[in-house]
Amino acid sequence: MKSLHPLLSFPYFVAVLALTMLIRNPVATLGSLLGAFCYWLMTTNGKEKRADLGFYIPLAVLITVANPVFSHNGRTPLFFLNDNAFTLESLLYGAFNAALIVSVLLWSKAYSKTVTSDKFLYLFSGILPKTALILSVALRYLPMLRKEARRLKDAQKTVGLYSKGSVTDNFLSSCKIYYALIGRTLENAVGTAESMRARGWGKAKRVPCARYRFHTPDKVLAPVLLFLFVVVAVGAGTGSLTFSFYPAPTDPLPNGFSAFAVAAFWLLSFFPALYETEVNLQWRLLQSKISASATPQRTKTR
Amino acid sequence: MGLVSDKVWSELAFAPELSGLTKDEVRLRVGETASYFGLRDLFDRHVETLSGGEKQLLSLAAAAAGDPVLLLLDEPTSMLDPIAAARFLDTLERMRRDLGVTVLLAEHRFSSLYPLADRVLALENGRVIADGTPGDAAKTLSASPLFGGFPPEIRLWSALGCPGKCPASIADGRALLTKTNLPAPTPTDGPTGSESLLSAENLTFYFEKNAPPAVTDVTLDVKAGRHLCILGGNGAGKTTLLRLLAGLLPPTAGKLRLFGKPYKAYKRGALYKEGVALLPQDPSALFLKSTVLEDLTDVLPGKKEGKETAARSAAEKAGLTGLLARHPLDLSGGECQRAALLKILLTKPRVLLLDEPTKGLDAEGKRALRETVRRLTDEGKAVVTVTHDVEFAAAAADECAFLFRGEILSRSAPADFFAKNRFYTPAVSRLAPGYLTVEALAAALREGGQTP
Amino acid sequence: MTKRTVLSCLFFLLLIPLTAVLGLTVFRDVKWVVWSLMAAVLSIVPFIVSFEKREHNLTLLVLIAAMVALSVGGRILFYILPGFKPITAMVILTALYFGPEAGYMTGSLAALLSNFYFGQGPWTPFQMAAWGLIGFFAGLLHARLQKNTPLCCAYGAVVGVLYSLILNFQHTVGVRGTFVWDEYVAVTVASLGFTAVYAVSNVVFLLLLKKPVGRILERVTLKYGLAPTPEKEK
Repeated sequence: MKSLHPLLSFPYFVAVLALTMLIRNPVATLGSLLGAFCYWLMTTNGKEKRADLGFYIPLAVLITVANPVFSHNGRTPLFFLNDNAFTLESLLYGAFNAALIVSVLLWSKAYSKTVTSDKFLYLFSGILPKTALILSVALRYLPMLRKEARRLKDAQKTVGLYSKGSVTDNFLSSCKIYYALIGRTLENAVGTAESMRARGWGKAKRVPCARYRFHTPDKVLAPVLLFLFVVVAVGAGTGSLTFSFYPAPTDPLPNGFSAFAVAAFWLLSFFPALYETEVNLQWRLLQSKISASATPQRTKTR
Repeated sequence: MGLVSDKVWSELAFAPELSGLTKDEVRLRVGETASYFGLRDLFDRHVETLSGGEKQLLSLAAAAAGDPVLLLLDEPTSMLDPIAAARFLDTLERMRRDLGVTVLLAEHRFSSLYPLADRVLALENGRVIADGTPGDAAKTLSASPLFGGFPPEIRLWSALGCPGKCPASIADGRALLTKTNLPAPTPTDGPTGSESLLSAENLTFYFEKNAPPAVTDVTLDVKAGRHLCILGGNGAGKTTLLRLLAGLLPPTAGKLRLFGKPYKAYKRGALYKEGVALLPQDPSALFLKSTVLEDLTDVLPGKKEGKETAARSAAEKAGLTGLLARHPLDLSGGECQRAALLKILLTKPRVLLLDEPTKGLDAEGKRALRETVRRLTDEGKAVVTVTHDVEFAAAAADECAFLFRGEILSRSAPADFFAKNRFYTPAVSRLAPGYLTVEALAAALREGGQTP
Repeated sequence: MTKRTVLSCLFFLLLIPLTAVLGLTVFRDVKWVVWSLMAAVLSIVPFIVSFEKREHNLTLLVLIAAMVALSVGGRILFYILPGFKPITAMVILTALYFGPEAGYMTGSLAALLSNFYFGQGPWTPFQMAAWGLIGFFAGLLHARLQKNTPLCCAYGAVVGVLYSLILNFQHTVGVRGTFVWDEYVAVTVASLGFTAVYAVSNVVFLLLLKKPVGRILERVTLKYGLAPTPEKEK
């Protein structure tokens, strides 16, 4: 997904996130969750997976169980707590909510990884040049600040800072370093502005470097994805996806169009996973071709 | 450093984007510039991940991307190690030849640049004191303190009375010497044994579990009254080693002892009171306040008035009273270093660790530094300097060690040390083997009656 | 109050109820989600657009960038103390010396930048709007807040509480899909600890940073003439 043109990936993620948050239909939401999950499986390493699961699973359980505690609607009580009914429907709704939230989190993660700061800046520097400038300079400064802070900390430790070990002392020492950092950075900022002016800022209109090109697959994918999105949106708008848990679960596919809308949503959600798989397959194919042509053909000599 | 962007490619694109080219022209210009300057592999990197040398190269490339007619460079190699400086200057020279750009460069560390210049201008106190070809300028400046920064072959040429053409390389200099009888250098005995103040045994450090070690099995003894110079290129692990010795990093393996007591036994901050002191590469990191005086009083114990008087008298003794009222960030490199040294000396250290102290210093500044180190060792302190400046080590060290990829590969007295090396030697040794400083060579020539 | 500020306040106060109406009529099911998102977006877009349109000194832009980076960097420096973030204090200080628009940009872009490092999500527009507005209103009140430190601290504390309330709102609506008052109250009560810490941290940082940072910013504004001036409409 990282190689897609940002004009495609950015709206894609925004759209999927929006749809996931707005559509309250368990069958549809399940698709979103599975699609995000598959993509997550493909793009994270073992360490990250463990850390993420350690967060998502408890969160999901918490949300599932918390719902019936607060909400007592529903027809099928499972047991009673202080005169309040702990209903099945409520529990199901909790599970649904958990699924929804985990998908939103997974999609957000996928978005963060794919639409990185340079892609984001690329999209917006045309229409919001000043904002993009501020962001890009800030992005430049941030790692520099971390390094500077470490250097200052080291040097200052040897002349007495951080020597008492108490929380207050650590905090005050960090504050001193923070002041120094602020002073230096602001002075530096003025110099940076001069340097930019020396290089021509403000004279002519800026033409952003065209770093991303639309490849042929992008040109095909864009209308397809758009079509899927429209189908889902229409479905949502026309009530084909309405669902209610209370007092009892309704039919998840209320009308004829519903099946289409749900299918479209599933396809839309699985797009990144499918794209990644296709890229991986293509790569393996290429690799096998390369190694095949590299190994010398052994002619059978007799 | 005038880098404005966060990624290498956007830094390169900055000027072209603003010069009225079309989108595709911008892209072409960026690609072209990156290839010419050898930055293709660094294209997507964040600028903070680049080394100092790479950043300078990027600055040059970014300036070149704007298609300039004249390039003005202010001390571009002062913060670079010799390898990076050489690469930068080579690229600059290539640019000049290929693109016909006029280069105006201000430097006070010009030994390697000298042969490349077409015209030399020397300034002192704002006035021009020499203007001409390299040879002419050398003749004019032979008595000036600037001469200390001239390449050794030119200083040799001057000591011999400027016979013939001005030498443009070590080879030319050697040619000069074949006509003279050079006495063998007299080896000097290093100072004999003394008390060991800081000791490191099998010191090893890994930044990350699966990465190669930054420091491997280093065993060092830092003795009182001696100056140890640890030499190595960029990335050899010099700063990491120093941070370990300064107790700022916990070793992954090995032992560290100060005055016989292991580092772990020292309470927080106790290492730095009458113990170890570190002069960082950027001495301004030691200053947090808005005047030097405030920073000095910060380090001293006791009441306010007492502290101020003590600070002032210390500054007076060091001849730095003029710096007391100034803002630390307004000081020049040399002034800042001197002020920083004063500050750390207030903690009465017995071991001083200096991280690349010669960066940004001119010949005069380096000479002053050598004197300061000599004074400190005479007082019985131990000094460990980590540097890539071979000339400085040759002139100032009592003992030299070579660090490569975190391992100490060789350690001995300077004469021995440099005799064993073929590449890491002072330029003067390549002119006349066995000689470590131009002064020694000039003295030997005088004694032999070779000078006019 | 200038014409511009009156207009922007009106815009702000009118459009948000308008979208609420839209929510109620068209997006019945998920009206809260839609409404809250639209409110956040509306609290961001007009400010950014107006910032872009006005003339701005390059030095000011770079200084704002520096303050943005310092705000986020500060969070990393103090990470050992959870909830102690200097970002609000920095945003307020920027606004005091550079004016409401600069304050807004510092706040919203600090939120955006912070999320590039810590992860984006549906909370991003809310954080951007919240911190942006914190900066904006601080800028409007700059004359009074600059001179009066206790008042400034009070602003910091109040704003800290409001920030928590807004983020809790987003949390409730995001989790539930709709606004349930009981749950909102429960979440707010549960996060009371955090809210308190956050308000305290704002006050602490304002107290600690106001003078020294104020000194630096003042020197720079005087030197480069960047103080908020009454309207130079193009």
